[in-house]
Amino acid sequence: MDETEMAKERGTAAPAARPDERLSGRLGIVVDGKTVAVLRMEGGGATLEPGNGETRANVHVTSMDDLGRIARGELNLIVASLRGILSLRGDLSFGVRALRALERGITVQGADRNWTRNGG
Amino acid sequence: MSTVSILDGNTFVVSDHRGDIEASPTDTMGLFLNDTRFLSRWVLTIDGLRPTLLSADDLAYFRVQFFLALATGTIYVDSKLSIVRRRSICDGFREELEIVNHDRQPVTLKVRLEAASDFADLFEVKDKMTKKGELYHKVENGRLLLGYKRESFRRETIISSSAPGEVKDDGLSFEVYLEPQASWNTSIDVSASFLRAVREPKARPRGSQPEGDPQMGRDLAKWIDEAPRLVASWEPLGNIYKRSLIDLAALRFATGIGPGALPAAGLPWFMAVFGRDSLITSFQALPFAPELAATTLSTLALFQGQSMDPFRDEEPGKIMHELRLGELTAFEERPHSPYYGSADGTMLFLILLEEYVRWTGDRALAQELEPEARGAISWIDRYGDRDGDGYVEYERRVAETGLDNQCWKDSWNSIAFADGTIAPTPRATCELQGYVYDAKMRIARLAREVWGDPGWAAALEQQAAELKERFNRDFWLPERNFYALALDGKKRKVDSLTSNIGHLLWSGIADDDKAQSCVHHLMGEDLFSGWGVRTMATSEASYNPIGYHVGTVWPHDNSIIAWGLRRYGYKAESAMICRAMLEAANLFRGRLPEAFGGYPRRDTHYPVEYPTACSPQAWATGAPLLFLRALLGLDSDERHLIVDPAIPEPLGQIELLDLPGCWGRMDAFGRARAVRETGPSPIPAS
Repeated sequence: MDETEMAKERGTAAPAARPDERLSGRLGIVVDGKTVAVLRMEGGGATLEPGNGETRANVHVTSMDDLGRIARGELNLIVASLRGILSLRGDLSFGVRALRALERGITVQGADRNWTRNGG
Repeated sequence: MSTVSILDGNTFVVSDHRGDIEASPTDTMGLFLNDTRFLSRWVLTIDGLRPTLLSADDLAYFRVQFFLALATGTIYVDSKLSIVRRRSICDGFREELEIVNHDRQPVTLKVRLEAASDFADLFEVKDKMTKKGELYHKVENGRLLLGYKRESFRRETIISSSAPGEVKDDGLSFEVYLEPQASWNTSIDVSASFLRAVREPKARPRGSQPEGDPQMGRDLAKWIDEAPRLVASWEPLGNIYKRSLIDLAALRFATGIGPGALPAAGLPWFMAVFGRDSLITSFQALPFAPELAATTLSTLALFQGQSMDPFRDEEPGKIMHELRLGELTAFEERPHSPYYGSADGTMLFLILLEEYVRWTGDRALAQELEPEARGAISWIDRYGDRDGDGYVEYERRVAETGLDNQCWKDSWNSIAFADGTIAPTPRATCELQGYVYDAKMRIARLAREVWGDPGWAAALEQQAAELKERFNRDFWLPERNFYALALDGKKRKVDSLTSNIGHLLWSGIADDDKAQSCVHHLMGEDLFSGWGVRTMATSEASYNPIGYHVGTVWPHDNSIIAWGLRRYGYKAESAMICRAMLEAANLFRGRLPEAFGGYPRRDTHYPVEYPTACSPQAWATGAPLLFLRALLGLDSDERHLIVDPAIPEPLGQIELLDLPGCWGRMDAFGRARAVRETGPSPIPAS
């Protein structure tokens, strides 16, 4: 166990943070100009759904796998944006929060194994 | 070379006094946006000659005009041409070029603007690096397009003119015929473009905002109008105050993620979001512009650390250090996406949150940020204290890219023993422990009064009390009568005398009797230069009056020390620092730089400039605001404005009208009295 791991085991933890229920809304996922799916954030959880409809924000990506790489912790959100393979439109505050949740490794209902760290 | 800068947020143009840009690979001339240089050459010639400067006038932080003439080479022949370049910033810049013929004869001129871009990342400029991608240029639809491509990373500069001309790969040329007394003008737009591989709706090109300039003028007028009004009998104070407000306006940085703006750290190297700098500047400016604090807190909360990432020094709950948007960040050759290598930002986040709520009464923000506050406290205990000794310490996880020092004195040699030996890591600097103490005490108040969690509040207060007790035992140097700068990696006390002890007064962690000794040192000749408290005392082996963190005087450091002295009741000493720093500011024409030389005032009579200081720099800009707060003794109990002035004689009377806060708007007055006589704690004789 390295020092960091030891640190995790040690210390007085603050009371657990409540689930991030502030995060509520639909994030459209747009590939090649078309909305291919929606990430619904609700009650601290996330669900990937087909279809389109009204969204708070849209994330434009070159492919669905870009989001999979973010969810697997392989692609940093800022890096993706700077390299021009991801951009956000709409309510940016919500969009960033949703993508940061994805980056954090939140479990996404309805997503395939490629969205899971270590392949599930 | 002396330069002229205009800026808005993280967009800035640095040129020479003629308005020309001739960047070398290692200097900061150019047009910069998002940490990338979009224009590195911009040179005006007329008939092959470089006009000479008559005057360069900063009309506003976002607008400048250059008056030029074509030199004749002799004082006996007047120049027949006036040239005016009016430049204003938007998402690039717009330049209005006007040429007037004062001759009785018509004239035909060849006007040329050379243009080029190296698309250097700011870090490449700073660290003398070479580029890895491909530069290109082309003429398209009468516009000059300069570009850079590295995989999917593409940036372009587009240059267009309102007057018809010849556009080539290296610039624009105009054949101009002028009758006697006639004038010619053109408007040239230089706009930056961030191209993406992803297909997305077409956005308005950056830089195409002809309304940008007047809008910024209105915005600045509103900003000044909404700030408290200062009436001061010492005339320079009004200029210093106005300069601070204008520079703060210039440094505001809208991320676009949410409403509002937060302060970027400083021109030219640090026009980015910095945790520590934005937090401290927002603290300094809180009584004057509380909205900066709200935006800073919300933005930093959004990027709070959430995983273990050694490359970025990221840990769950940690507040970020620095966010950069250039090429090196994009290719992860630098860790700033964002980088989390500061050990104090997390505590400063908590301190500012409580201070903001107490000043404004805006409990809604505290409610909104409760999860982040809990996460930050958790970081202190679980990750900040790396080895379980009860103190927060730091050590970078990746030597090649991480910061060696992760406290505010972040240069390599700042944490040294009295004999000059550099302290080994991990380093637990003293002010970090003070910040932990203060953060826990403040968050305990929010837990009890806002979040309805008295159990957690009591636990935090207990932890803070225990920290204070062991800190006063473990960091005290009885043989020198001050606190150690740090505990090093072997838990040895780093025994040099530094300004850090002043931060312990701000945080409240110092025992009263020990605080008295610290005040004695802070105001003694070894630390106090006559202009301010030096970062390191002249008595220490590492001392250098122009050493970045080992002898220079930092205005923001002094503002924190002055406010800390007030906390312990040392009003006269606080006022002495405020007065000296404001006198220095006056000699710097109202604008305090990031740092200046630590030479004794009695020898130099003028504060000596530090060669590479950022100016304007956010927390130096905020320092006069905290000095004003200290002089008037302004505080809040979340219901009332508290005013307790201690103003030294030369500053006379100070009035701050319409101070915003939880009380709405209130006025504060103070006039000079013999504050030493009323001070509660006289300094012991040396």
